[in-house]
Amino acid sequence: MTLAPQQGRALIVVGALASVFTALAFRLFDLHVLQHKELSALAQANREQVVHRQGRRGSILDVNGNLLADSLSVRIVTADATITAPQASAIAEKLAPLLGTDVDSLTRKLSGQSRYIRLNPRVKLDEDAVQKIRAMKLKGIYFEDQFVRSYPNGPLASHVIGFVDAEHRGVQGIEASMEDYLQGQAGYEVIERDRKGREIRALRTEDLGPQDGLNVVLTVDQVIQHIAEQELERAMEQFKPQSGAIIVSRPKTGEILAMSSRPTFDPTEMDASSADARRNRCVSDVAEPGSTFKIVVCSGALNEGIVTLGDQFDCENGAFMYAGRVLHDAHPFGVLSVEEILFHSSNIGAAKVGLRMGPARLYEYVRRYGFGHKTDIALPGEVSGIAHPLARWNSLSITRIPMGHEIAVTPLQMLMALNTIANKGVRMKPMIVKSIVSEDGVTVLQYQPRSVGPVISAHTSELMTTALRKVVGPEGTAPKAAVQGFDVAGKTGTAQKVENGQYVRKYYSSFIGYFPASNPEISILVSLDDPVGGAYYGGSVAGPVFRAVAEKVAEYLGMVPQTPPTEVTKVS
Amino acid sequence: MRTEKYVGMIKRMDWLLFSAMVALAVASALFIYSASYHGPGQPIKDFYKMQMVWFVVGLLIYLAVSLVDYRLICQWATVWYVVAIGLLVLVLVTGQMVYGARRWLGWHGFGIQPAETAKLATLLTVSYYLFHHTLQTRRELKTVWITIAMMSVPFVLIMLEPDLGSALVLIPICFGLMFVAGVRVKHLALVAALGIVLAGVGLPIMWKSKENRTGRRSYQKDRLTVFFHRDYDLTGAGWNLNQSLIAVGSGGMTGRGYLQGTQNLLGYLPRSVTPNDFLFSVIAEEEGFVGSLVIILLYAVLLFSGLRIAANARDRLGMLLATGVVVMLFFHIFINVGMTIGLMPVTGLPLPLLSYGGSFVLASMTALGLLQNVWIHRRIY
Repeated sequence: MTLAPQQGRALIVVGALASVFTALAFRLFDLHVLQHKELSALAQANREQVVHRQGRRGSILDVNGNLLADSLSVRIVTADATITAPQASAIAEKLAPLLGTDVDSLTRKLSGQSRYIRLNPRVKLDEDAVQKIRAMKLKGIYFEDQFVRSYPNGPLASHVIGFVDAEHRGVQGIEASMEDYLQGQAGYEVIERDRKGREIRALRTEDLGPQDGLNVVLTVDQVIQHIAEQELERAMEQFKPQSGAIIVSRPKTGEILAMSSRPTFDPTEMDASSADARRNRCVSDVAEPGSTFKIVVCSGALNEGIVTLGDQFDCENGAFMYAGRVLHDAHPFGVLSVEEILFHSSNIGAAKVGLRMGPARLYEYVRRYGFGHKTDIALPGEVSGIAHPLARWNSLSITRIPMGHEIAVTPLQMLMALNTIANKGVRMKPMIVKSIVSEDGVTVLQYQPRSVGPVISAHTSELMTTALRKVVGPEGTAPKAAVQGFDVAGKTGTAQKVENGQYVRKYYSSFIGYFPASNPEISILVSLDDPVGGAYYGGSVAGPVFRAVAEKVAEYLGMVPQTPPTEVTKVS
Repeated sequence: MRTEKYVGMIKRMDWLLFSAMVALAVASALFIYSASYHGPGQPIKDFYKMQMVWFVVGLLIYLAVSLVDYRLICQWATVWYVVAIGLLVLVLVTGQMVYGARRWLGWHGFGIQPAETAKLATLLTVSYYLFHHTLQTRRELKTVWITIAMMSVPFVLIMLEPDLGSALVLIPICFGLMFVAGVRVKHLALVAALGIVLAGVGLPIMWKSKENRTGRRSYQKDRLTVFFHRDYDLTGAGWNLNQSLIAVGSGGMTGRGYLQGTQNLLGYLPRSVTPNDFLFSVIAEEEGFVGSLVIILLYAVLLFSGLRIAANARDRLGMLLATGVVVMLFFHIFINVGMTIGLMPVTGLPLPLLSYGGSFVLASMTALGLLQNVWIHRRIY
């Protein structure tokens, strides 16, 4: 049977239809099944967005709970470039003036591929600008709350507190050393967004909330810190030294009440400061301490029973020839007792005490006082200083180390050595963090004062205090360091500085002291590196600063004066 | 007596065809609802309710069209043709301008698209014209030219709206009719070659003049570029196709579940046109390969029933009518589904029965009514 032409053509139509339908089915299979994975991923990428949420970084508080560093929640503007790209330049022109950026770079950001861009990571937006941007109703532009670090007191205690980087991580100071406690646990959530970028909350699939960081409570007292900074500032203006440091501590516990150094910086204006200014000189810088170091040799010799306070040494009228070199005193002395060597600060006397002690025992005390080792205070950037081992001593070392040369110490190490004498011979570890507290006030971790061990006997410590009290007496090197109403025990230091291997006419002037001498509550270190304008003796430069700080601290702490003011006035 | 006659006719209906149509209508309402659904608690547009109203109205027309003998209907072909042309002219004069085109006749929110009536009228008229040829005359070239001329009037008028997609549908309808009517393939090839040359020269010139006039790249050109370059302008002109492919692909074997397709739900499929042009993408995303295959199979049932009806028609007029309807529906299905899966360029041709839109629902059901008519009035041996 032959087909009619129409029937043949009908078959062609049927065949054409069937093949097209088969093609459609194949293509559907291709998309639905074969390309399912890739296309599903695209669908997911379309709508899903992982949003990271910061935990609030913990605050840093002073001993009384005053805020030293805080985390404030601020609005930041974010963009989804896949949405903003078509109108990037138009949006950029509207936003740039409000965000304080230039149009070009903003356009570049907005026309990229990224689905999450922070447009003002550094600029703080005021509520007015937020309202204006909101009113523009720009597609692909969102707001997000983010934390920024705030330092309410500006430069106060900036070296101790430190600062954070753009990622909110601690870089220096407590911010860095307590990072593990301060940093919150970042959380994230996977949200779904519709085509216009609005979140569909009902479809939120993962939501891992962030955890806030813990607050760090310091031993530092904001008021005492302020006193120290103020007096240091005044001294900087008066003597114009290259740098300066003041540390206030409690000898009995090793708690640091204030730690300040110059030059300094303001953590709220980081761009304006140099790296040099950001260094905490109290722990990171070393210097030859000079005469303050005589407390080491004298207390060591007394403790070993090699000398008594009354033992006499011939101070050679100011010029002592030893190992082919002449050692000078600032003022010529004849025969001095050990006590006099301390309060007149005779280099020759100290050298002779050192000679009688011998290198081994002297070095033993240098190490016992903690020199050449980090104090392990909870601050980054601490250095160990230089205390050469015996093998590297030369024939002169035994006469130079007793007067604080050929050795390099940090201001903190020096104060901790003095604290040992003030604390009945027991060396305490310096303590700057008091406790770790959660945001709702629960104390998570309480730090306790820790002793490193006895260095000298309590008796030797009493002998030393007796001698050091005379330093601020009328015959001593620092009558200007005497504090109204309180017995002060202290020691001056005037170290000639070394430049290019030569001693030059530049000085490192310092004063360390504690009071009340009979029951030491407070110890203070003042050091000024290279004061200009004639005066350079520790007693006359650092002494008055010590006195000013001590008087204000005593008044602030409500310490009861032991002696009637009039007597002291007469003496000084 | 009369009622009995009609009951008898209804009993003789092609129930398979009818069932496929109803199934597609149900799917239409379901997925237009889904395409209007934006999540729990969100307001839903009334599109799906409107569509159901159209189906009810369409069903009445369907019955009417299938019961009145098609030979009677075709005797009025000239009238239908003239009325359809009149409506096309009317829409050009008084039609509402929507998105830069005059396609709607009527008042706000309620109106008809004369292009749809024109498709049907042209189908009827051309079928009727070809039916009146003898074996000899239909092999003459003149027959082809006259057919082309009959098609050209509505074609040009629809192009003027402009509605390129709807105008283009007329070409396969007429060619299909001529082919089945027995016009010489040589002649058809000649005309087709001529048409291709004409399009090749004419379209670029047309786009150029349009671009010069509006200063903008014409959207047709954009759509073609998108078709050939899958990564072209994904945030602009290429968005719809790209998102549609993503929707289909993410559906997988069994789909993401009814009202669960995020491409649709979250508006990545363009909300304004999804109920009309991208409804298949919604079904594909939410019901997967299984779902889209079911839809394709329902259409296959529709079309192959149509061809069976053509083969069983009592006369050549019935055969031609049935073939024309099949070609018209097929063209819409292929273009629309092809568009959503990247086999065809993006055009605004709706999917018969599924897509939202009153005019096309009514036109499709009228066409299906004609099929049923040819079946009911077949010669029974």
